[in-house]
Amino acid sequence: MHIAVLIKQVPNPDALAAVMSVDEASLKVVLPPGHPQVVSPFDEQALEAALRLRDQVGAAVKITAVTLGPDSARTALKQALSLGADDAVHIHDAALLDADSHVSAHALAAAIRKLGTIDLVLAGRQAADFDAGVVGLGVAEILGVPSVSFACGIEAVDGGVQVERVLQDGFETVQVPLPALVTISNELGEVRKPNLRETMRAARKPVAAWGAAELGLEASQLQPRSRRTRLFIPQKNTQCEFITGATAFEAGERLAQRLHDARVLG
Amino acid sequence: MAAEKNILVVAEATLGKLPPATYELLTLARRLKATTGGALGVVLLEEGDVDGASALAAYGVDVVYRAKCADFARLTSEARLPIVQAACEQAQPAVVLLPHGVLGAELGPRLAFRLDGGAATGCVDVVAQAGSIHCTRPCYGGLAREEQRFEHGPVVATVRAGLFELAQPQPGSQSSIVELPALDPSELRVALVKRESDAGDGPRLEDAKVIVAGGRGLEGPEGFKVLQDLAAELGAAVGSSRVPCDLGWCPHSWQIGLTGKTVTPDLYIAVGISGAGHHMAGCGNAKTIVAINSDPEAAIFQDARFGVVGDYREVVPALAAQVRKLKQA
Ligand SMILES: Cc1cc2nc3c(=O)[nH]c(=O)nc-3n(C[C@H](O)[C@H](O)[C@H](O)COP(=O)(O)OP(=O)(O)OC[C@H]3O[C@@H](n4cnc5c(N)ncnc54)[C@H](O)[C@@H]3O)c2cc1C
Repeated sequence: MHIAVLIKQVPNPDALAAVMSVDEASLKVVLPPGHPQVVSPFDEQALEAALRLRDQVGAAVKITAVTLGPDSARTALKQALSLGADDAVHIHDAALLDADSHVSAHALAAAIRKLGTIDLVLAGRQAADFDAGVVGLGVAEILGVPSVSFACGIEAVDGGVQVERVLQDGFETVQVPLPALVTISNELGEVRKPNLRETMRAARKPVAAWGAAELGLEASQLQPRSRRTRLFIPQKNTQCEFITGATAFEAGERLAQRLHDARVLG
Repeated sequence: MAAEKNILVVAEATLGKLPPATYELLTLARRLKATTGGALGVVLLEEGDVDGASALAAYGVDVVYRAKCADFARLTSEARLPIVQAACEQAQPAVVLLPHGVLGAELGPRLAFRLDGGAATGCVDVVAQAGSIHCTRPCYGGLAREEQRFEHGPVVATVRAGLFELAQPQPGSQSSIVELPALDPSELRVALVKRESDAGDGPRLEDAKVIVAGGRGLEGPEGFKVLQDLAAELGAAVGSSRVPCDLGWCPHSWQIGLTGKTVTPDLYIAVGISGAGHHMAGCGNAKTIVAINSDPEAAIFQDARFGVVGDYREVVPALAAQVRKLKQA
């Protein structure tokens, strides 16, 4: 089984609130120097899902990590390799740096085609920067393979995979034949840490760098569908009225009275 | 060009009833239609022998594209895609609107690529302006918002719940009905094995007027018992931040936020929740937010209208007891 895992490098989404600002003119997020760039957490879990499949099926599972991004995205691939991916592809081209979901999906789908027979594509449910959740499903549509989204568990079964997925009010289990694309949600659970042996080996694992020309992307595929016209941080103008008391208990009682007076208790 | 002014809403009737999300989308769709001057269509996926189409006529819908199926509830989004695609081929929409739920979040992007259009997920607004469609959506975990402009469609937009009023019937409106070809289940590749619900029997979070939600500050599953006592007094539903779900203190379906539910109650009481952007993305549109937190610096107080700084173990039972007294008075 050959699995491609789509990963994206994003600014560490934890603790962003205190440090992030936006340059509304250039439509870019501004972060203090040194704010870490990480593999988007859902993509880490997609890689973890691939590694769990290998744990289940055995060494016959080959894992290729694929990213689209600038120079720095190489670090994300290195992390995937040190976690156990066998090789990696870095789609890297000035023409693709500001790709929208349409262009990104076409580039990633072309890379998967170029890799040859991929049985399973795994991706995070959304990237933790723009939170769109479009690219993975777009890749499935371009490749013409079935997709299952929001997976929290995956295992190999005869001729395909069985996927447990998260619903609004519960879970469902589905089976899908391969090739297929599955997007992974955080309910998959803890991911493993890089181990020393794999980290040592990672340095020697191959990383291919492919540009738009090598992927054979056509002009229409490089034509974005959308342009960002604004990026802003919404203003908060709520004033909090603090309810106090001699003890926390008294403050709780007073809160009830205040909510009652403000007619918000219904 | 004329064809690219139409608006299409994807609706699903289970047991003969359309969900509130459909009526919210109709409000947005009617606003878009007023700008584009196109026709308003609804793709109606109907379960069984109910007649949802005639109910829609009163809402200013010009055409209902109807597909009937014995068992929609048991089918995955894959089954819906060819039906909605068939409706799009007839309706030639500029914009397709879907609710941003588990179904819409999968169906929307696939449909956009199938139609060679654009996709915008989790939108809070969609407007037609000078011949293009603009979508506004939260990003960066709810900390920022972006506006995207689409030059040519169709634009498939999934829209968050609770942001638009429910559409009201319009006198004198009429719609025509187009029957769509039935689905061919033999073409489906994703097969359902089983489905389990983990929702309790209390009020649904999506519909609740009052929600009491707990976070890591509850310090264990027992904390939810304290919240449930308060919820019982208020007739409230209980929700949570992501941490208690991850730690197994409560069912995952209680999660509110960017990757959980979007809720818009009149009153949202956040207990032991720090107020991360990821969480507020799911509850920031509540009418009144109340925060109970032991840390006076917690970010949640920037979103809250009322706050108490203190240990929830003291504050919440006192609040519950006093609410009961006020109700009896
Ligand atoms: C990509 C991504 C998606 C995410 N999606 C979601 C999502 O959908 N929903 C979500 O909620 N989170 C989500 N998160 C996680 C989010 O970033 C925060 O980590 C999470 O919301 C924090 O939960 P919390 O407020 O319960 O915990 P904490 O941030 O740890 O806050 C606990 C609070 O409890 C207070 N407290 C402690 N003890 C007491 C006490 N005895 N009495 C009163 N108060 C007390 C503390 O002062 C603190 O403010 C996501 C994260 C990422 C990276």
